[in-house]
Amino acid sequence: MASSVRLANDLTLAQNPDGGWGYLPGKHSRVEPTAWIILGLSVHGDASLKVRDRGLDWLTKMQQADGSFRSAPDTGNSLWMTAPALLALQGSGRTQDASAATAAFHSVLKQKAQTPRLKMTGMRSDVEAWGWTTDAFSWIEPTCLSLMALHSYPREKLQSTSELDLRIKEGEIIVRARRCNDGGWNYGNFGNRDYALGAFPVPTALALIALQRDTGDPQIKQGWERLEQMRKTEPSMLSLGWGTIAAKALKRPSDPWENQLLAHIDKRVGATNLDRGLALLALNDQLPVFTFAPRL
Amino acid sequence: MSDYLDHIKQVIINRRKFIAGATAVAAAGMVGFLREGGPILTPEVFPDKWWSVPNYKPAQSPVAILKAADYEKNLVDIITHGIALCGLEVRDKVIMLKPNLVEFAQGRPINTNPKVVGAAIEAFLRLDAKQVLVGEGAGHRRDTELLVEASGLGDILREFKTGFVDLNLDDLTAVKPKSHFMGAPELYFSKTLLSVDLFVSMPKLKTHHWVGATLGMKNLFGCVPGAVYGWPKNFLHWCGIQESILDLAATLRPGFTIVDGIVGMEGDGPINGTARQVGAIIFGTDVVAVDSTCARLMGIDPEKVGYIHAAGRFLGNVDPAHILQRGEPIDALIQHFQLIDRFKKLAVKTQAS
Repeated sequence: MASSVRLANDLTLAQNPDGGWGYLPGKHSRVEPTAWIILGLSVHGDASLKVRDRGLDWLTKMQQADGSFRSAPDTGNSLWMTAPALLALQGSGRTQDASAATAAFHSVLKQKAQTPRLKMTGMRSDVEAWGWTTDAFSWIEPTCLSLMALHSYPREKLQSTSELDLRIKEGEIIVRARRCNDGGWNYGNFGNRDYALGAFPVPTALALIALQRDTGDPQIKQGWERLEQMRKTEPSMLSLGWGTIAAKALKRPSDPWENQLLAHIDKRVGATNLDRGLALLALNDQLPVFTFAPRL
Repeated sequence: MSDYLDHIKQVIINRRKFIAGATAVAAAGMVGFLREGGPILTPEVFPDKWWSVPNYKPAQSPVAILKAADYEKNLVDIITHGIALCGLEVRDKVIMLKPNLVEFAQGRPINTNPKVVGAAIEAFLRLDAKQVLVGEGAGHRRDTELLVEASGLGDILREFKTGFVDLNLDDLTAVKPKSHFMGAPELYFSKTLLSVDLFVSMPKLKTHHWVGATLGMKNLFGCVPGAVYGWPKNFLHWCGIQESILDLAATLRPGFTIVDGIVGMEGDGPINGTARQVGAIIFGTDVVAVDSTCARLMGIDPEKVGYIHAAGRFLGNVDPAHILQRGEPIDALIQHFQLIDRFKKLAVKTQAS
């Protein structure tokens, strides 16, 4: 808990005068770090809510007319940031942000990646999920973040859930189709030409969170085992942060992850605001936006 | 938003022109080596891509090749000598070194060796540079902490107390490209990168399974911020790999290039190839001349590498007659890298072949 307090204090000090956070202290405010920090502060405690609300005020100003969010006002691309922003809006639960959340939800719902021009075996080029930018291919990280964002939105607010269910199904197909031979996930390419590519910890954790409704599935079991291996061999603030969140979402033992994350925070020099925000979030017991309702 | 829509429209228009152009090429029987990476982007075949192309070609380009047997001995002296042979002045300059830090796999020579980066830091400081930074925006993993530590670069940064700029996450500046092969009206780059006095591309000598070879110009893909374009930077592939290399090289124009050719990668590079001992470091102020020389060292004809050929039309020198070769004579060091089947045609013809 002492580490959580320290992280929250560090992040409070790192907040920009405009209310947002840059990827690094002193840098311009950006949507992604601000979104994860808002979520971290939302579950950290009442003392952080004032700081969080200033962040939310900045975040909502970044929303475009079509409901989407971009990296920052000066960047015309990067629609993938809409998903973290929606998760932050849903996780903080401020009533005044409800319409912003609805607009962001519909933006995520309609975002579609392009189909690849080159046919790649097993890549499921017939399904369009989510890309980092709209003019590119589907990739694991934006697809998983978008799945989490769609799950975070209350189904009861929708007149029909058919489009939502279809997009979730498309996203899950892509995530499953891009699994690496070693059981985990990388950015979204299990092989290039004649060789197999291996998994990375962060995309593997994101994929497991996104597919958590099928915890009994052998693919999820293998993915979790691969992630556990990488905890020991590839530790970082990001990998341990997302791994801890995955452990909690999948209801797996999270103590080893938390303990390693806490030890890593103590020795890490030069952590980014993104690292700190994610760690603060991961160290909380309650992670409502990362826990999906069971499959119907 | 309107800029973005304009850009998308432009990309679509360019793709249509590209298809039309490729068809025209095929019809004319001019396809030397049509491949995934695209045909040679000559102005005769693709005039629409060559509008308002600047002419940055110097009359002569110094390129130095120096022997370096391994990563342990005299690297600082070798790099200092290479800088001097090219006549580069660095006093009081803020310098950013951009190594190639793509991915990490134990024992595979994917990245610029951190010891070469460390030696370059020391060499530039010895020559009275004001400050030396290291910048990179890794292309596959967004976990920079993991990559920097696993690759060994973290130890070098700590040893020299050198600042690292994550080009994926830095503050951004929108820039209008100096050439228009991609069809992008603007590109975003790290503000710090654009502010330095001297930008040094530090690639590894490697083959590349899409474009034949990855060297000083292709290394610039790491300057495109992942926070905007994602991991991998698939936007660049959709705009065309060769087109993107040309626009990035024309827009960023590294002032110096240092290629880690001590151990290169042959075969299925840039990730899955195998190590090839070359034992050289290559230097130059003209990145096109350096890339051409490196291609020749690998036994590749640079005129057959689409983007190098095109860059030779406006960015720098490919023709050996305009390259002032210094240090070791190139003929003594030429090797014939293994090339994947589709790129065997790039190889320089030898008597044996």
